[in-house]
Amino acid sequence: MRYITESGIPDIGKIPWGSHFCQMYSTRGDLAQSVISYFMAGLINNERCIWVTSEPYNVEEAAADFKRIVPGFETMIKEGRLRICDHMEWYGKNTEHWLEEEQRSWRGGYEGLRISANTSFVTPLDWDAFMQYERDVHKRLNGRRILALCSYNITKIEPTNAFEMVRAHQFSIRRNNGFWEMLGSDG
Amino acid sequence: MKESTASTWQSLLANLGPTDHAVQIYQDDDFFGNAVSHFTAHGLLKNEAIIIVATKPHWENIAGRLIYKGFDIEELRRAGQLTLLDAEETLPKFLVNDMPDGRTFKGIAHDTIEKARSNGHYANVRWWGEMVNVLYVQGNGQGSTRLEEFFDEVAHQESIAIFCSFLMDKFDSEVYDGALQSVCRTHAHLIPSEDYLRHKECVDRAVLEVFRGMESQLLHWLGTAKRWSGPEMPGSQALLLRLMESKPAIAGRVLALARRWENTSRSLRERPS
Repeated sequence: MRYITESGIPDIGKIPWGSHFCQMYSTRGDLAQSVISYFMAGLINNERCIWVTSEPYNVEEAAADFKRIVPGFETMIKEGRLRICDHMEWYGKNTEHWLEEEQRSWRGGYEGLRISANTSFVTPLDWDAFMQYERDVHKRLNGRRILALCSYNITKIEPTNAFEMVRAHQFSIRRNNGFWEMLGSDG
Repeated sequence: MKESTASTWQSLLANLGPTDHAVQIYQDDDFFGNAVSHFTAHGLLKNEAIIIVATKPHWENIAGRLIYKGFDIEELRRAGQLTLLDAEETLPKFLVNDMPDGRTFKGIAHDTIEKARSNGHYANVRWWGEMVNVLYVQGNGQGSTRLEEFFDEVAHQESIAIFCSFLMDKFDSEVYDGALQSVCRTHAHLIPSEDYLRHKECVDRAVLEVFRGMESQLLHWLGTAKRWSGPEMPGSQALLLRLMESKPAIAGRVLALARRWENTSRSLRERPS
């Protein structure tokens, strides 16, 4: 069994299973480019993929972009290899939900579970509770056959919140001079 | 870092459990009195024994607030639920050459706690004291830290909740030369401000202003934020400590601006309508 898998994100390379990392994006284009590549790598590696969308990139737009780039999109959706859902569908579910999804992936014969969620729906009032959720996810994903990429619109986050966000993840990635770079780590 | 899970200091102090060790840093008597009386009142309501080791002026501040909350101080002392010691009279009993003697201090502390439990009548004990702060304010930083370490040992041996108060300016860069880090080493929770939201606002505005035109550097720095093993505290305070550790020159400017924002917002709130 392999312990690392291809992230699919340009310039980032392979990362270990159990990685829970955050992405600082500032444009819809950054988000689309990185997340679609991330899921493409998962699909190529026979991983089950779940994409939780939110503004500025909703379910319909994400599905349309995917369909344009990835052959066999409809079949993947029908087979359950790829699921694209709105954040409202996922909101309120606890960390256990992802562990159940991991089990479902195992039973389906997949290599693992690959998740991405855009967090732009989190309001300032929900921030503390959401960070607590992120910290919980961080603890529970360690050693699991799950990859979780959390996307944060950095143009809308204050420094303190960005600081807490980074500390709630294993590492962060950001776009710098046209390249994605990996920053920090649990160490 | 153990991340901040309590969103306010009020809920933290109300629910401080056995062996918990919290500290506030304060500059004004209102925040000081509010926090200590809140900690005390919640212990009393839970039928816990309370030990207060205070200087006279501070005891007057605390007692006034407890009376205002409806507590009968004399009755609580008579019943043995409230033990009051004078900080300035107690300190010399265990100081040897300006340093606390561990054996003597622990003996006094264990005796006081045993009496406070009143033969098991009060299962839980809460202790608020300012002897550590008295040493710190006198400029005896080493003695202050040593005494805090002894307190921490006693808290764990006796399973009691301890709350401390330090007269420190959270936006003074000199405090970050080691004093605040020392406080962090010996406490599980740090309360840096009466108003966490305002603290965050001031720090955020100051950081954005100092990094204006250097946003990419700010993102890079934020992206490298590490987890740390210090006490629980609001994210904005953790950010200041981390900034001081990695970029002291910038941190100094952030602290100065944050203080200015805080003063401005205080003046606006206090302006008569």
